[in-house]
Amino acid sequence: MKKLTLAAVVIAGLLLALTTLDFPRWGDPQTPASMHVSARFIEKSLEEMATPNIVTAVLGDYRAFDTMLETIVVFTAGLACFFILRTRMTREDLEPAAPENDPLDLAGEDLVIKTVARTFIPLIQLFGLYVLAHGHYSPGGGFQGGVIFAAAYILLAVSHDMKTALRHMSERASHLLSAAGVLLFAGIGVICMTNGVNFLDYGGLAGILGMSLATGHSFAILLIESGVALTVTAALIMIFKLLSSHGTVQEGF
Amino acid sequence: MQLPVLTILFPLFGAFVAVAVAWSSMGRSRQSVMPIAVSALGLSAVCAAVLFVQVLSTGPQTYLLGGWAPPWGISLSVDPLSALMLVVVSAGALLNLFAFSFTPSKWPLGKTPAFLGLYLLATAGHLGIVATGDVFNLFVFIEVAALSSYALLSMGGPRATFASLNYLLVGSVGASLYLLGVGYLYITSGSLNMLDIADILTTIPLSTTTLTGFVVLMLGLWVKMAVFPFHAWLPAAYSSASPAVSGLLAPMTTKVMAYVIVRMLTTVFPPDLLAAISGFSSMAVWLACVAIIAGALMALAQQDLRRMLCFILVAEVGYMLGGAFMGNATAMTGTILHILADAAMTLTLFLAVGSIVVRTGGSRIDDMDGMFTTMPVTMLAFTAGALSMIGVPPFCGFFSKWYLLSGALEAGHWVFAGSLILSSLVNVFLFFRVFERAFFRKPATASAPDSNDWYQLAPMCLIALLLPVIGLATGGIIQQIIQPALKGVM
Repeated sequence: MKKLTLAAVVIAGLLLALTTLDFPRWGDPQTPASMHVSARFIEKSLEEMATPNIVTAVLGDYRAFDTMLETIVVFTAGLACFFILRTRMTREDLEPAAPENDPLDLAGEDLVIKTVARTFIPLIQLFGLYVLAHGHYSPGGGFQGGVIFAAAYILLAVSHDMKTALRHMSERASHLLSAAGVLLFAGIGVICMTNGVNFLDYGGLAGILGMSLATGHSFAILLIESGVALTVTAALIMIFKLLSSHGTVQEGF
Repeated sequence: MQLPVLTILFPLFGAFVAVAVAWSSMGRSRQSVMPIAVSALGLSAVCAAVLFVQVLSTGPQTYLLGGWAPPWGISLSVDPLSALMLVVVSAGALLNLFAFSFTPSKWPLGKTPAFLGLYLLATAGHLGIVATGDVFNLFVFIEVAALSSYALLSMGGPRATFASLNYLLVGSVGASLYLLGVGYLYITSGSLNMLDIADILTTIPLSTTTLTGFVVLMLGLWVKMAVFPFHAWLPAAYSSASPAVSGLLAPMTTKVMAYVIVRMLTTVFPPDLLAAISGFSSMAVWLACVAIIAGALMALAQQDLRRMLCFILVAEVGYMLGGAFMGNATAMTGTILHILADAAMTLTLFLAVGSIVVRTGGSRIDDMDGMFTTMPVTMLAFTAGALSMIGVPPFCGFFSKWYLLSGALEAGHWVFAGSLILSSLVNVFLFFRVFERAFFRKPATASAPDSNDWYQLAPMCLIALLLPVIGLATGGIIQQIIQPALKGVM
C-alpha cells in the first residue's frame, strides 16, 4: 500500500511538473497574469491610497475582505485550540490569577538568561511595532508585526516561567484582545457602511474624519493592520499557552 | 442594498461578540451568549430571505466589497440560486441551533461560548462560499468553514478527536488542491473574479494549463465533498461528533461543495472545456455510480443509525456528482434540485436522530424498538425524512431523483440510472428495517412518551412539513431559479 501511494504521488508530481512546460514565460510582461489586473495596481495604487508598498495596498485595500477573513482564520485557530485543548476549567480559573510572590519558586532561575531576555524583550516589541507601522513602505504589516510581538511574549515565558508570563497577560486578556482585533478590522468596515458606502470602502471613513481620500485609505490600512496585529499576537499567545501547559494554562513547564 | 454582505457579517460579528462578552463578564452571565448566537443567525436568515425575494423580483445583485469594481476588488454575486442556498444554509443553521440549544451540554464550564463562536464561524464560512464571486475569496471562506468544522467535530464521542484529525488531514489536501487549481487559473487568465475568468477563458484557446487547473480544482472539491474514494472521513467524523454539530455540518458541507461544483461548471468554465476532456466527465459519472452503489452497500452493513445515514450521504454525494457531469440540462437540474432536497431531508433526519441520541444516549438500530410509542413526534419527522430520502412522491427527494433519472436516460447512461434505482431500493430496505423495529416491537424500557420540549420538536416538525412543500414547489423552483442559472450554458 505504501509503495502504491508513493508511486501515485510520484506520477501525480511528474504530471504536474509536465504541465509547467505550458506555463507562460517567467517574468514576461505579456503574460495574462502581469497584464490584466496587476498593471492597474502598479499604476494606480499610490495615488489611490498613498501607500508606496503595492503589496500592502492590495492586501489592505483592494482585497481587504480576504485579509479580514485570514485574520478571522487566525482568530478561529485560537478559539479552536481553546475549545479542543483547554482542560480542568474551574470557576477559579476564570478569575484573573492574583499576583503572588513565592520566594521558594525557583523555576527558571537563571540570572544570565533572565537578564538577557529582559534586555531584549522591549527591543523585540519595539521592532514588532516598527514592522507593523512600516508595512506601508516596506515588507511588513499586521501579520508579521503580530508574530514578532508574540515572540517577545513567548521569550518571556520561556526565560522566566508561565506564572510571570500570565501576570503580564492573563488568559482572559488574550481572549478579549483576539476578539478585539477582528472587531476592530470588521468594525472599520461597518463604520464605512454607516457613511452610505459599501463594506470596507475606506472612502467612507475618510469622509467621516474629513481627510482626503488617499490619506483616509492610508490611515484605514494602518488601523486594520493594527487589528490584524492584535488578533495575531493574542491568538499565537493563546495557542502557545495552551500547548505548553497541556491545556491547563497554569504552571506549564 | 447591503444585504449580501450583511448575511455573512451577522454570524461573523456574532462570533466575535460572543467570545468578547463571555470573557468580559467572567462566567457571571454565560447565559447571555446563547441569545447572541440565536439572534445573529436569525438576523442572517432574515437578510437572506429578504435578499432572495429581492433577487427574484429585480434580478441578480453584485456587491462590491471596498467599492472596488471586479476584477480589482472582490465582489459578492448573488443570483436566484445562490440566494436560495443562502436561505437554506442560514435557516438550517438556525433551526439546528434552536433544536439543540437548550440541551445540557457535556462540555466543561466555559466552553459553550467557544462552541457557539465556532458554530457561527462555520455558518458564516459556508454562507460566504455560496455568496462570493471570487475564486480566491472562496478558498478563504473554505478555510474559515473548514477550520471551525474540524474543531467542532472533535468534540463528541471517544473516537471524535481521531476522526476529526483524520478529517483535518484529508480536508487540507482537498483545500490545497483547490488552491492549486486557482493558481493555474490565475496563470492562464490573470484574474480571480469568476465572471471575468469566464470571459477570458472564452476568448483564449484551451491550453494544458487551463485543463490541468480544472482537473486539480475539481479533485480538490471532490475530496471536500466526500466523493467515493475520498469519502472515508465523512462517516467517521459525522457519526462520532456531538448531535448538534453533525446536525449543522451534515446538511451543509457536502451540499455547499456540490453547489460550488455546479457554479464552476455553469459560470466559470466554458462549456467546450468539458467536451475537450470528455474522458474526465465520463470518469466522474462512473465514479458517481461506484459511489452510489458503495454508499448503499456500506449503509447496509451498519448497526448504528447515524453511521447508516452517513453512508447514505455518501451515496447522495454520488447522485449530485453524476448529475453535474452528465452533460445535459435535465441532469444538471436534477443535481441542483437534489442539493436543495438533500439539505432539507438530511437536516430532518439528523435532527430526529440527534434528538434520539440526546434522549437515549445512543443510536444503535437494535435500540430502536418501540420508538414510535416513546418518541412519536420525532419518529414522524424521521419518517418524513426517510420517505423523502427513498424518493416517495410528493416528498422533495422524488422530484430531484426523477430529473436525475431522466437526465441519465437522455444521456444514455444506463448504469447511472440503474445505480440510482438500486440505491433507492436499498434505502427502502434500510429505512423499513428501522420502521419495523420502531413500530411493531415493544420498547425495552417503558417510559413516558416524548418528554422532549417544544423547542426541540418545533424545528424538526417545521422542516419535516417543508419536505412535501418543497417537492410540490419543484416547478416554480425550476422556472424561477434553475433555468436562469443554466441559461446559455446548457
